[in-house]
Amino acid sequence: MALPVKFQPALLWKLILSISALIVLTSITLGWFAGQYAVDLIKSGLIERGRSLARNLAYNSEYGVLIANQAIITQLVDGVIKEEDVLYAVVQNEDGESLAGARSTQLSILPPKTVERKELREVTWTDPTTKAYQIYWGGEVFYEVTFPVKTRQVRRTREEIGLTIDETLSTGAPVIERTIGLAAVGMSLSEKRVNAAIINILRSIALLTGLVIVAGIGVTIFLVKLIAGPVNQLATAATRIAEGDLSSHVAVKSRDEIGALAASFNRMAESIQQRERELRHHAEELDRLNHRLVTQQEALQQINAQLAAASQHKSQFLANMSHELRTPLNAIIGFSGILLNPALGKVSDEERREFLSNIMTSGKHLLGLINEVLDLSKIEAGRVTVSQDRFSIPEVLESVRQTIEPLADKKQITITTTIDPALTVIIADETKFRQVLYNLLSNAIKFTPPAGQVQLFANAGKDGAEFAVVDTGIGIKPEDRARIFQEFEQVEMSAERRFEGTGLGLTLAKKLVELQGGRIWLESEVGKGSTFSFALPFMKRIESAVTDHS
Amino acid sequence: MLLLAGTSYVHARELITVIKTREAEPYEIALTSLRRTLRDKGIDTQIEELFLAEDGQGKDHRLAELIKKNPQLVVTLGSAATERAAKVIKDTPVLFCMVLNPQASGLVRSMSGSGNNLTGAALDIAPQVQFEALRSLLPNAKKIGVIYNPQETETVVQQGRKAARDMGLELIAVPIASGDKVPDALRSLEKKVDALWSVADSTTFTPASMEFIFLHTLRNKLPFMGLSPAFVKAGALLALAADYQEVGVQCGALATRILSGESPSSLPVTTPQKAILHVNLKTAETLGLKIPPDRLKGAVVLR
Repeated sequence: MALPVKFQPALLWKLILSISALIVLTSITLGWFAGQYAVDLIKSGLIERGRSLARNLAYNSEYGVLIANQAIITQLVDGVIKEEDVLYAVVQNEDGESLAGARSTQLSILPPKTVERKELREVTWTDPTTKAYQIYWGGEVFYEVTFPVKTRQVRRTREEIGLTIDETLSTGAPVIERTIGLAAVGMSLSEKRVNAAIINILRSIALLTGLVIVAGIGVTIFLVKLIAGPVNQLATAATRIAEGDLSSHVAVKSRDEIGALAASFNRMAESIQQRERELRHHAEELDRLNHRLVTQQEALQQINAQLAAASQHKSQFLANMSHELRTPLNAIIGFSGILLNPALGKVSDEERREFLSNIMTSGKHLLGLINEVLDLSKIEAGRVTVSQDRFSIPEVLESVRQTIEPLADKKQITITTTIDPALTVIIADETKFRQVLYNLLSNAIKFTPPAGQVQLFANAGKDGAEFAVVDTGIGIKPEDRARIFQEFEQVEMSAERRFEGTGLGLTLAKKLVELQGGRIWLESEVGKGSTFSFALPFMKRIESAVTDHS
Repeated sequence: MLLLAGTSYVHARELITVIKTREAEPYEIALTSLRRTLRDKGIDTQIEELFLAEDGQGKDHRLAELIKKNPQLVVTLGSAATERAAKVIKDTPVLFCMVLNPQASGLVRSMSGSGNNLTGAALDIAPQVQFEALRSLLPNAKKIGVIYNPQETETVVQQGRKAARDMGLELIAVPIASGDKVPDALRSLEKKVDALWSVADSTTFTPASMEFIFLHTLRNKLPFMGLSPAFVKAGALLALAADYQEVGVQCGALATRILSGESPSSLPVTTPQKAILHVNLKTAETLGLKIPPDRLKGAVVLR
């Protein structure tokens, strides 16, 4: 038996590993970009802060620059460098001369003016007057953001000083400004801060990755179960079908592709089942036909055998016939030749009578033979009609006994007749009845040694009349009993037969009995004698006939 | 920007041209008050307004065009407009309005009579009135400091010195020649004086210096008396201000007299009859001052 398909743990692991690898790869890529983005963000935040500081410094320095007051500006730049990430702050006048500068403890001196600086043009400022530079100095990278120090060239006099102070103090009014100096702030990316930010991002991403992997494993197991369950059912059902259990069905009810597959599978199973039923039906039909063919073949073989036997009988019959016909004809030709040949001289009257008598006997024998053959052929051709005669059994039996008596007397054989008193009148074909009885009696006499005894019994049976001819003859061996009712069958079929006869007597008797719906049979004991019996069914008329005589 | 209200020539009506160099709410209050005064007096006038941009130095040809129209009166709002008009207009009467220290500016020879075609309503509040207001809030203040440019405000400071002396106070005035001396002047004053007074000096008060002055006075807890309510709003402890509506009325009265044929030269320059006290209590708190509520009666208080 095939095992149902199981999702091996190895497969599950492979799926989980591939999904985890995908997630980790995605996370690493994302992490890298996020790190880059964070650094960019920190950098732009730093520059933005620098811009804010520089702008404020520039605004606040206006008066100090205007009156070139170092003390005022020093106070301002000192305030700026206290800010985180600020390396230095410098305020210059119009001519680029430093008015005041301050540096953080990270720097030993302020960077010289000649230091190489790269303008950061990619930074889009909302205020185009701001400039940012990247500076490489003393093995450090830092940023400098500058903002011009401007002043309003407006002189208020008298009452306007007081009346317009709102406007003067606010920066919103559109007034003409003049650049009178520059405020510059140096900003440095603190490595510690950048690293902390990146580590923070990496930690978040690692945590997220872990969570996503756990969720991914969960989803994978769920999906594998979701698919494996129905697939297992399908596989089990397929295995059962393969083993011949066509009634096997898959109980997957889901409305997805697997559900559709299961439904198709069930349809397929039903269709196979249907086809198998049809095949079985066809096979049974074939079996039946085959059986009929065999039966017919057997019947044909039987018929064939019968035909062969019949053909052989016919040949035998012809041979016997020829022999039976030739013997009396030879006797007739021989005796008539003697009588007609003058060369033989004188033939006494006694001799002539004897010869003529012989001729007569042979002629009669020949006629009898031909009549029997004719009768037989008529019966075989179905041209014999059975008449229904009403006759008296004792009378007909006595009549036949008298007819046969001369034959029995010749061999000093006595014939005794015993008739059942209940059996008086019968309805049958009288002529044929007589013939059957005559044939059986003459046969009995023929095969009974001289001074023997032949007995004739007539009994009323349950359904008909039974007749039996019992002799004390040679008897018939059991193996010969079946064939003695066939044409030209005598127990000894050799050329040297002891008993003359056409060999058609019993055949004819059998046919005649069967024509009237009766049957004929034989009981015999070798050396002691034989009993030939036949039974004729009572016809309906028999009862009225019986009542007539009662 | 040129604002001409009605450009048609209607000779039956008096034509008055108003010149200004700045749009400011106090000027508008005064102008509205002036119009109302004229209307109340039943004078049918056509008033045209001319705006001169304050930086348009070479564009005074518009003033020349204005003269061609032959207005009966030119009204100027503020010192800048008055100074520019005075340079060009020599015959037509010029009535200035909302001008501080016209005498110190040299617009008029004296407050009692200009001696030229100018007269007007000044914003000047006498130093004595100012010191009294200061003393009402700071009873213990004896020494009052001021920073000024002698070339600009010598006259005002002189008046202040006199008023202080009369009141038993001492005015310590620090003269400066340029704006960059303000921080030093302020530092030299901060230990010596009980309060800082101000005069309308454009050398001392520049847009750049004002922030410094406000911050410095607050940091050093130096009570500061400003020039206007706006100063109080910006952080000064107090200021005395004219009622601009009253100035407009005074200006209207002068206009009526000029239109009725009087000569400006003999008409005295008016000054505000009442001054409103503005006090910033937040500043007072910062300075650590406790001002009794009764001292604030009638004052505009910023809390």
